[in-house]
Amino acid sequence: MDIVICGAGEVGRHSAEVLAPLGHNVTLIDQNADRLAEIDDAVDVRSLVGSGTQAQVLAEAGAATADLFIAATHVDEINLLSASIATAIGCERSIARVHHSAYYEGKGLDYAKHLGIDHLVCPEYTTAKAIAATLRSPGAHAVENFARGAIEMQRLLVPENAKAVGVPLCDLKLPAGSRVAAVERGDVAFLPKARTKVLAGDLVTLIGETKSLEKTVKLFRPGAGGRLSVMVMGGSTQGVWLCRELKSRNFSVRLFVQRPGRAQELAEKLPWVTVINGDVINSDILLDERVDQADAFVSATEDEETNILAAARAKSMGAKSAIAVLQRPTYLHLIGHIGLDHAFSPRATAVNEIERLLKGQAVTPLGAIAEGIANVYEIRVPGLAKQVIDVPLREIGLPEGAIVAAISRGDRAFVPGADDTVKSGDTVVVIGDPDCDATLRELFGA
Amino acid sequence: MNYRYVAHQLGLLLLVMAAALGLTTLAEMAGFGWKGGDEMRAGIALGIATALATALGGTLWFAGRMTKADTLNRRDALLLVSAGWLVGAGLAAVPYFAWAMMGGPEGVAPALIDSTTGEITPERMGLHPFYSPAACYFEAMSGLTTTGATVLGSFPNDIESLPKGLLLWRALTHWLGGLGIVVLFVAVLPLVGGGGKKLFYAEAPGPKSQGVRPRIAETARALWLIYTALTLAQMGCFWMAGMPWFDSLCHTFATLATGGFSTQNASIGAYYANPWIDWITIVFMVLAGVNFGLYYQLIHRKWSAVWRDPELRLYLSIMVVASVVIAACIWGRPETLTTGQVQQPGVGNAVRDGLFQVVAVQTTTGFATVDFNLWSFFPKAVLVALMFVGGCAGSTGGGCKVVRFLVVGKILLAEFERVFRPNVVKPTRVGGAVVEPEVVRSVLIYFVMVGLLFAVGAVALKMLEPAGTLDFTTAATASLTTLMNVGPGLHAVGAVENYGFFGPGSQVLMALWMALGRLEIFALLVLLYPRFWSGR
Repeated sequence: MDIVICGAGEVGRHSAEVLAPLGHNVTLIDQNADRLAEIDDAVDVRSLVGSGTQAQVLAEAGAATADLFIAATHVDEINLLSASIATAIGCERSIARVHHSAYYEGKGLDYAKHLGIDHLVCPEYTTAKAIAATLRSPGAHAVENFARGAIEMQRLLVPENAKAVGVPLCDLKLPAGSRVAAVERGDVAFLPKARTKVLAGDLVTLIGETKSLEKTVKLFRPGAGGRLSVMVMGGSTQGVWLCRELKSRNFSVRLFVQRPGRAQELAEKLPWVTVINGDVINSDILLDERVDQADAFVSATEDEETNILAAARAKSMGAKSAIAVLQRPTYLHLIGHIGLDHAFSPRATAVNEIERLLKGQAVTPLGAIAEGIANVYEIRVPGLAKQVIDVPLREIGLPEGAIVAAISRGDRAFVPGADDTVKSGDTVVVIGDPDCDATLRELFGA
Repeated sequence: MNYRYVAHQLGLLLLVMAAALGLTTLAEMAGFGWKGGDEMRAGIALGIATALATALGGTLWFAGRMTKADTLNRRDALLLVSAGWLVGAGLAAVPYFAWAMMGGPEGVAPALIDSTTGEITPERMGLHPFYSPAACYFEAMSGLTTTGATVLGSFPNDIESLPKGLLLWRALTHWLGGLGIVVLFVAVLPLVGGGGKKLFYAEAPGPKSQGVRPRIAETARALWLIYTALTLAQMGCFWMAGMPWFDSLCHTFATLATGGFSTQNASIGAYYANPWIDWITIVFMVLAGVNFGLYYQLIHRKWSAVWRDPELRLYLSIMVVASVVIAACIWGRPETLTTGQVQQPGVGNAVRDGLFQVVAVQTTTGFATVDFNLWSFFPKAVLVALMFVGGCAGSTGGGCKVVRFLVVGKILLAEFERVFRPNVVKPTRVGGAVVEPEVVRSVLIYFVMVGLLFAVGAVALKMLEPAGTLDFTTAATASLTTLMNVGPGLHAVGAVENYGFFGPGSQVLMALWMALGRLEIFALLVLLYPRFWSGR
């Protein structure tokens, strides 16, 4: 596959490092010749010095005949423009990386559609989603997101005092928009039926809209959903995205920002956050703010050494959990040593997302649940899938045991009922047998 | 400072006043004056005032016509607005004084000046308040600033004995001053160009300064249209409820401007027998105290902008809470109506009367149906507190404005947090929007100035009046009620009392206090600051 990457920053470079060994022909464009030379030494890519916003440069890089164009400079506007130009001169697919919520959320205008870009990737957003999911469900064994984070899946252990214990699922009055996807009891895992009773000690996998799932989780894990006190350090884009994700009654967020000007700006932008101007590492501010009573501390500045240091400090001062945002894998092995609970890498997130997009299949296995009893599939419904489009879900003849767990349409996602229908262009999340993807592919005409 | 241009514009402003006076003259002559007698003299007095206003305005306009300037700078605007109000009130006082000079109610020109000594005879001073120029100025300023405090007292110097023409003029000064004579000026005369905005905000400074329309003249026009529409609506309601049309007109002017002048000695309480009148008045007083920009939003169907407006919510909440408290206090205790009647209010009447007095005082209208001066201490204290609150910014109401209290409340909470968390960054927000630090400062300074002027006024009144004649409650509430443009105070200036007993010095001082309150203090005070004049 011919791939052109514009911008040799963190994401661009890492993409090249991942994609080139997979046998793709990668061309890297950047304005900084030194940086290109450095990558040229390490990775087998073609490099080109120039501006990604000029059609001539893109044509020279081979974008006109390329299968994929990735715009990954650190400026949103350049990425949008160059990805749009790449599409215009004939590139098969284009991906632009954006930082700013205005472009990614596309309120008022769907920028990707308007500019002819196939996908927008926002690593900070995805990372923030992942961090928020981890914070939201501290007891969960695993948390995963689908459909841009609108659908969440949690796997958790059911304690004895849970409300759901011993009640048939159909009598449980699960909130609309969430489901029990799988139950593991001892060594046996199975897909639950309406009469199934959940017992204490079971591991259940819940899937649903992020909002309604919170209520569902309470049924299975009492005590969940109390107000959590979260401290975020760093006025970076990542920090802001995280604060936006934590905008809910379930979190009380304190944001530490070192630069006074930025602190003022963010205090105006994020009214639900208590912004504190100060240096976390070189002052007693954590002590004054009683970090020992905080449920979580997340360090998300642009400097990863600072992030590690601050998170370690917070942890040592008594924060219940400490999370650091790291770009490079260099320090990952340190995390456990110094007692940090989690590390998240926006760069790795971005490359994973790009990789997933790259696979380009209509039916993508997202992963296994409950030790392989079932798989989660993401299906993009093509316009020609006449068998399923506008047909109520109960009649489309899904393979035995498979359920449509979620439908993502435009900018919203929901868990469908038996009478809902699938539309062209939807993304559908299906849970089913590990070997049913051939059937699904046939059914959805992909 | 471009004095000639200011004079030119001031002339135009006075010509607008002259037009209003002229219309009143015509209405008076056509409606009542042709019958002769007192009404005729009132018509002539109004005619004299019209002529004077035209002459003065025309002269100033003519004197300044050669100027090159085509816009006002900030100082010009401030000077124009302040001069407009001070001189405008002077002109508005002319009909009262001219009517008195022609003999007033007796119809005989009194020998005001002793022919031998050349001094004003004290006996004549006591005859009718309007023999005193200071009292006339007080009455005119009280009208224009929508204060509603009157010098007119008991028979034969009472309100009902005044000719209809002067009653109409009193009400009309309310209506003109309610939205602001300068705003009207900006609306009808597109001559001031870019200076219009400065004029507009010099008269209606408020912390909320977003224009309704992109062009300031259009904003002013939109506001006046809304105002006029409300006026017609209320007049219709009053008329349908059975109030005579002349009283409907005058009371409507007084309600929507949050003024408080009535055509009846018992204020609007003269119609107490008809509860509909009370409820209509309550509704329109509340409406007049709302930011007029919100009506513009309503017309454009931006419901949520209105519903979410934090100032409106606080304004209504204060009203409801205060009414409930006062209704509970007055329930079952004998109360004296403004008509002099004594009654024992049940729950219904307690709520009705409590709500009416609360709304009348908080919106700074100053109507009364009950003599609240006879209430126990606590409900009176609540009313005095409400005088400070006032209406919303951008309304016709006076007071400190609800939004300022909102801002101060937010500042206070932020300060509490800063005590134990000195590094917190907490911008002051009202309704999600960040209030600029300069605005926050100006709000704080405003409160300091209000406190200061309130105290200075009370002390000055005590000093200006003969020793021992003025008790402290009267002095304090008179100072407060004029500064906040409410009207009635407590004790000797209570709901059924008047300001006629004050000496001329006190009356002029209170007139100035009204102007200070109406222009939100700085536009007028800045004239006393030497550097304002020096240009350096």
